[in-house]
Amino acid sequence: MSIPSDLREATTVYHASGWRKWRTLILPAIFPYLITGLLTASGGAWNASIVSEYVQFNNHIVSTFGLGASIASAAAATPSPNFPVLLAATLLMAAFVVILNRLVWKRLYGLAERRYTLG
Amino acid sequence: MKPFDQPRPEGDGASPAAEVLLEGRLLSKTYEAAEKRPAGHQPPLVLDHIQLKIHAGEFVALLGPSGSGKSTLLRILAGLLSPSSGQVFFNGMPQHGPNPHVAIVFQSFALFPWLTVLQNVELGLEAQPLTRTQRLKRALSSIDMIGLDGFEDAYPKELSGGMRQRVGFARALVVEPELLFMDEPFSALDVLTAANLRKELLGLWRSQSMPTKAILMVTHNIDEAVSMADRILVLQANPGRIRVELPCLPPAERSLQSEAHTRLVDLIYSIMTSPQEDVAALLLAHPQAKTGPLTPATPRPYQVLPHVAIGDVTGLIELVHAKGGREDLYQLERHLHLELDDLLPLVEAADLLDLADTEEGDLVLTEAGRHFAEAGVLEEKQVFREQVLAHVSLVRYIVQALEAAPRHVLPEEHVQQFLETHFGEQEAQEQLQIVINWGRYAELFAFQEDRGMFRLEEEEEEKPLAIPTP
Repeated sequence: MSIPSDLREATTVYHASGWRKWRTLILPAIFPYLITGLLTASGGAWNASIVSEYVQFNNHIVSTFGLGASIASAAAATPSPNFPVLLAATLLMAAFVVILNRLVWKRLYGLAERRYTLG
Repeated sequence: MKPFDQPRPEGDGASPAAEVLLEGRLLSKTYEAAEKRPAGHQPPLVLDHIQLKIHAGEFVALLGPSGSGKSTLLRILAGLLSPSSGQVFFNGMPQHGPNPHVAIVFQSFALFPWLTVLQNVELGLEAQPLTRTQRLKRALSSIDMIGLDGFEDAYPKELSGGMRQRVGFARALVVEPELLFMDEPFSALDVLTAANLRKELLGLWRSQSMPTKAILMVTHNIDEAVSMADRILVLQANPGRIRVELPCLPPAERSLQSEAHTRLVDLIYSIMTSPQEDVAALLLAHPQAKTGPLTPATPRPYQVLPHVAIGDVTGLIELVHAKGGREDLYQLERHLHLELDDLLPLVEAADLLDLADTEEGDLVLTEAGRHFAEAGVLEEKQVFREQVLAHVSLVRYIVQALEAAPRHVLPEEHVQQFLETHFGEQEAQEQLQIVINWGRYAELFAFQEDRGMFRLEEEEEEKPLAIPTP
């Protein structure tokens, strides 16, 4: 457990229990780890959803509307891959990741470092 | 436990008849040892049947070497830990779980880094049925009282150590606790800051500007205990017991310069540095001179080597020799800039090797100690070799085993296993490291780290080692 014992004891001495214990001790103390976990998990989830937008199975193609489906269908187009769509979709995906990092994750990491670092 | 029955000096804290606020009855604590112990070995007792009472109006100090369980005792009394046996009573009522009338000031301050000074102080009040405005008002007045005005919106990391501990005090006092517990509150602060904060706390306490009825302070600083408390409980280690209870000086004589202060500090030093001696004898002998080596009253199950590197013991012996063969332990602590916790093991090692004795708070070199200090490098080792063989059973054990072994080598596991029949796994490991350090210095055996083997040192002359029988 990464929560220092003196802080846990202080929480007990000053009778913070239940939701107040989560609010004053547990959530702030695990905040940096929580952010890392959320980032990793959301990245993985997005990956999986992009891949699953376009599935080829026994000569059947199941696809839906979306970035992943656009990329996959452009790549699988016959007689030759549709390079302009492929490029545009990939650039859009990269731009989306950069913007999300700038606006959300970087700020949360900054906050974790500024305020929620122990020791 | 041997209470020191002496009438309390006039004008000193609470009278014995004062209301008993908190009482611990027969408190024992064992930590369930994770390692397997041979059958018949009890798990080590951290606290052994502690009895104590805290009266309204008094300031009690719990003084003890590290490992005496003083912080554990404080946590049991506060209800943070439950005793393995025994019971804590508050105002005569048995206690279960954290006592709402106790506030604690921690050595490490235990401030929440994500809360401002004001939010940290308010934390203690959140559990109370107060409106937001009432809470804010009380928090601000507590911050005022403790001299933190203007820092309300600062975060702990922006503050110096002294200011952080002030937040610790403000947070404890804002709940208006009946009992204030302090766990080495000044030991993480520099000397001047600590002195200043002690003075201010005593000012608040004596002027009764805080509603607190009694204070319990855990410390390993004898000076601090003598200059602040009304009553001192000295704990001993292995197992943790209250060794003696001492009434303190009248407040007027508690200043650091007074002669009575120095005498009491010396007495406590002599009690703490001779864990085997009968306390009654020490109390009677004080302040008259007393000589004679320490004789263990009760033999310990197996000799415990103090956790010190031998070079430090050598340094201590030479320093005492330079001071004329006798020096006040209190002076030594100051001179060496050591905490008592660091000095005591050195004194214990010097005593164990019979290089020095403790006499009423002084460290006095023995014949062997003087010889050791005056000797050159080679002779010094000879003296040390003799002392260590005569007094350290573990060294004797290893040397004998090495002499009996074919090719005079011994695997480390052998010694480790032997030690584990007497100590826990971790302590056995530490004892092993200490005996390697001592044995190497004495040139009695060599130890090859990579192979984990002890090897008997080659004798230059064909002279068998004289091994005295214990």
